[in-house]
Amino acid sequence: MNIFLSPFVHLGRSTLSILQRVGSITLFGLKGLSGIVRPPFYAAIFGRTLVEIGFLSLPVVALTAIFSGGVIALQSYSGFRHYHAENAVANIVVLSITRELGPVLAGLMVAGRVGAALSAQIGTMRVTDQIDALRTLSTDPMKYLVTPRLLAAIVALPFLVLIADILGVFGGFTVAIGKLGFTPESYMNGTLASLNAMDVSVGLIKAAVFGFLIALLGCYHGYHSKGGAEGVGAAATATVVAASILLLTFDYLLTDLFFTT
Amino acid sequence: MTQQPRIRIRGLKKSFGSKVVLDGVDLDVETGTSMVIIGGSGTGKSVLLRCILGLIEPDAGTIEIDGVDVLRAKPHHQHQIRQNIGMLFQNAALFDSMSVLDNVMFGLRAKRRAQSKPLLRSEMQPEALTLLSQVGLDEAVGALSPSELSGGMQKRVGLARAIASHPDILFFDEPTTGLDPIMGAVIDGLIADCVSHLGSTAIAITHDMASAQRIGNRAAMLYQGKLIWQGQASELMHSGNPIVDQFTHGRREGPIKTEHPL
Repeated sequence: MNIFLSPFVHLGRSTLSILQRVGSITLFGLKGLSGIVRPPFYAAIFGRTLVEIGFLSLPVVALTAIFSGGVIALQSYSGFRHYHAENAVANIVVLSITRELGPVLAGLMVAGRVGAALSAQIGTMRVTDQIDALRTLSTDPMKYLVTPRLLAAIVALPFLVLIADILGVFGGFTVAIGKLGFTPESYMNGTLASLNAMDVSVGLIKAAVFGFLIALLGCYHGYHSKGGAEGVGAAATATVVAASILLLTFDYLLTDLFFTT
Repeated sequence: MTQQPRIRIRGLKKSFGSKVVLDGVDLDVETGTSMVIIGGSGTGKSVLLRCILGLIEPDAGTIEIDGVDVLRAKPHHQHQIRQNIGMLFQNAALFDSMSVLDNVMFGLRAKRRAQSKPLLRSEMQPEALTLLSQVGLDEAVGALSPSELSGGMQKRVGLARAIASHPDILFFDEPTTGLDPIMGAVIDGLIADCVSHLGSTAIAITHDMASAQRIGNRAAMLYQGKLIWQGQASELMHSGNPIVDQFTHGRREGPIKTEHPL
């Protein structure tokens, strides 16, 4: 092959491969979502996954939110005091938590904890023939394994983000009162004055989208894993990397959609 | 008038990349027959079963079950036909997130779910315990998780799950692999009992000659993607075919060339 054409051939192949993967993931997601309106419904699996994703992720999301709120309060105070704008600390904390850090940090924590777990669970079922066994037992694996997990993640993430928002603001409040010399009244007044229902709502919409993406990638990589334990491990790693990148990409796109128009 | 075979396969082909696994397989399995398919590792025995089950899509050929071409039938019809097939996987493929009893109840629930007649757990439990006792397992095993069982016990639970919906056709993928000779004989005995009790048509794949003769009344050998011999299972050890004879007697010298000679 012509040495000058070789890089373009490589680029073309990579582009086609990426487009093929995107198409495959999209079709997988649509098939999974279509199970929401087509019986049979697996309520028990939905409930169990809701607990796994929502309730069991609470500690890690809560700690991340509290400390992030505290850090934002400290950082913004150290910058704003040069301009005698310390009163903006509460404003910055509530804005950054509800608009960005609440959904993004909760999403990244869930991607690491739940995305990898979903991928490993389904991947293990794939390499040990359990998914094939489901099919021989008149059970559609997409409806049984994928649909309840997608739905549970879409429902659980907004609740987690709502809690992260509250705890993030609480973290900022604690640091502002305990360390930066704010009075509770002035800080709460600043927080309430800056708290916007639109910011919180958009954060919750972002959370639902992130939940869908995390569960989709976890299920997709697990469902298509092969090659035994090594393949399952690779699927879990691919899920966390892809979910983290997609999550930040969609964060930008949704922010652009809701806040710049 | 000759009776139509229960399972009729013609010209079945399947390749993975450049590797041809099935190269025009023709096979008839009559109603009530226990067909054993033998062949070396990697010759496509499992692929053949998976094609019939619809777990792998073949590249060409036809698979007829009761005269219906399942590859070209509508998905709903395919699903209905395959509901009547039970499968025991090589590694049992028990659901490790469930208890043993729940695994067996999943098999009971499967057919009812397909018929939109769901059963309550309390209704299924006695039947699941009966199935466990049929395969020689105690009630107490029901509470255990699959990871707590030995390989032989896992195979028994897999068998109980496979026969739970009273399938007309049963498939066994290397049922004695990984088991000691005594446990292998026990599993073979259970399989033969289940097949005769249910009056099912069965296909088992194995490279264990003792198992093949215990389970099957008919036998066939898959070699280089084709069925090169078919006959009575009792003739396996003296088929007159040099390839079959080399395989069944485990001789190093003969027409079969190993991929990695010493």
